[in-house]
Amino acid sequence: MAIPKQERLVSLVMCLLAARRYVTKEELRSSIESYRMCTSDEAFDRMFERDKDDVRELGFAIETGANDPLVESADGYRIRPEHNALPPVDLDPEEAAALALAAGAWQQSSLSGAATGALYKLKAAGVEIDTAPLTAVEPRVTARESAFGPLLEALRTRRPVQFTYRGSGAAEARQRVVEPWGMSCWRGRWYLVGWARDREEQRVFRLERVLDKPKPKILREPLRAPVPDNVDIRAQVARFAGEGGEGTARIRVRVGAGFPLRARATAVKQLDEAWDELELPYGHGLHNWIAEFGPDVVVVDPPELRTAVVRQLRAAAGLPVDAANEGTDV
Amino acid sequence: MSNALDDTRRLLSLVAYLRERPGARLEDVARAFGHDIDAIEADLGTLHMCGTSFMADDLLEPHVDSEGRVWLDNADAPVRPVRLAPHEALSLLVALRALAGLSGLRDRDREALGRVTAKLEDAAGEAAEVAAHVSVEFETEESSFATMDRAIAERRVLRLNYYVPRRDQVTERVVDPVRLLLVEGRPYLLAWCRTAEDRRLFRLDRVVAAELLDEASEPPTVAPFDPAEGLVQASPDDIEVVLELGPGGRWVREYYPYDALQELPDGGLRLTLRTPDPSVVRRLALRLGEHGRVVSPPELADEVRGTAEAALAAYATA
Repeated sequence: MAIPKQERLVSLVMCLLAARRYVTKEELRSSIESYRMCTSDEAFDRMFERDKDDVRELGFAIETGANDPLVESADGYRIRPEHNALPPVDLDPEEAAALALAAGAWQQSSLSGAATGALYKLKAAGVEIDTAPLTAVEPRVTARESAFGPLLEALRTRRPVQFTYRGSGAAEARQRVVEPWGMSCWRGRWYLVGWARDREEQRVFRLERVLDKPKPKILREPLRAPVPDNVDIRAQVARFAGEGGEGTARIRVRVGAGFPLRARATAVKQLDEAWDELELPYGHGLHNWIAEFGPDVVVVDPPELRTAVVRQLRAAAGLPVDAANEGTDV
Repeated sequence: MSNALDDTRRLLSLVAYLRERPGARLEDVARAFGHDIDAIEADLGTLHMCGTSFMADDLLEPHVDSEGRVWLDNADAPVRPVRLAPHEALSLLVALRALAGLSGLRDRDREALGRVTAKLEDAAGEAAEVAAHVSVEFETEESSFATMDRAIAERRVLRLNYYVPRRDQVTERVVDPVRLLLVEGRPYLLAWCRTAEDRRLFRLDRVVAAELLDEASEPPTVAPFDPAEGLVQASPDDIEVVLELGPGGRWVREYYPYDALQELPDGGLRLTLRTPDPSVVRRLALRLGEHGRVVSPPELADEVRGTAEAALAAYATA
């Protein structure tokens, strides 16, 4: 019967922690049962390399070195307990409740194991974490995008990452190399901000649009572009998503209709029994949104917004929208 | 759903926990780890199998005595509470900062979030670094959020003026609030709607007004909301819609759950989806313009054309 992996990992960690000197790979191979059962050197090497990665992900720093100063090759391993201890954390009940609330946010995501693991460590250290709620809020953060793990790893290790990306409206996917500066989740979608090497400028990428295959690949080379001290990820992402207006639009909205437009309006005045006039920020994508409301909304100003909405509606009506029609009102 | 790495996290923390508390009661251990007693006993069984016999100090040999107390027989076992790994620190810090940024939160709660964030940053050390480059944004509608948070705390009924997009109308209803949920970055109120006599989710940015009533709320026990089931429930009465999208309409797949997807030679997509309400698709088609069209059902395609023509008429006479 195969020995469960968790048993092997716990044994490896315990052994390296208990060691008062460097333990060689061969010593580990002969003393941990799963390793003894490996039928080839290659199989053992593969298993051991993966296990070291896992042990690091659990938070341990594995030191490499040799016990004999005359031996140059550092083929021994150990984990020093004193370098891996959690400093004392003392929380009052409200703080503990806040922590439990935050950890719960990741329940449905690939970070749920990490969040739970962090709570286990704190509990082991004596922090009392009960589940008395802090507020009536129940946060949920998802990270369904398969690129989330690899891009986060690239960000953590400060390495460029190569992936295949299909931008919105792009007919074809292209390979990109990006130096990651930050990641942000906005309206439930994850974005990467970084330096796009091919464009030689700062760019925003939406993780959903990173293709699963080929898998994103972290490059073993340093970042080339200087990383700005402060990357305002939030502003970058909002701009990418078409938020924020530069001008002002005036539109007529039928009384009682178009609440979401009214919620954005900076000014509202009643024209007559049937129509109100609204002023609202005019930014990218406003014409698409206005078209949704059909005959209940009519654009007054500016003319280019009128033209864009008319074009949008003509397309939806199945009428030609070629260049000759641009700039004319129907 | 557990995997070997998550099991290892629990096993190692269990050793550290037991080392700090010799003779801990089995039920207390189970409660601390959010598991039942059987699961903890199974973990102790696994720990028995761990160790190398090579270092002597790394054998754990836990045992449970007749009074249900847990002992580690090897008191020299070296596992102490372990420092946080970068992903562990990240998960907590990013969520704490996102929560602290909620406008409409009570000051007391925000302060607690701030204090624990600072303590955790200290404890995590360099593991906290990557968290500085990752953020989650929650949008809040400040005034209604605070009113609802209070309504839930004080167990009071709310009167809502709520916008229904498919009718493009504001409706009035009385609800028994249950929880505030943050899903896909947006706040929702989970409540029992007395008007509909059913559990409902209200999106806060569609709440035109929320009024706290002097009436005790008594929501019937409602099933907890499971975000995995999605915000929109499928029903057998849903109608099937086929859309043809150009490259500029590919984003639709990211926002609307669909049943079938077919790539088209021009870089576009053919999507088949179901909706309880054709007006949702009508609005989507108007938003798409030249980047997509309804292929079927034909009545819906006609409705889109008709609505667009009616809207164009306003421009002809304007």
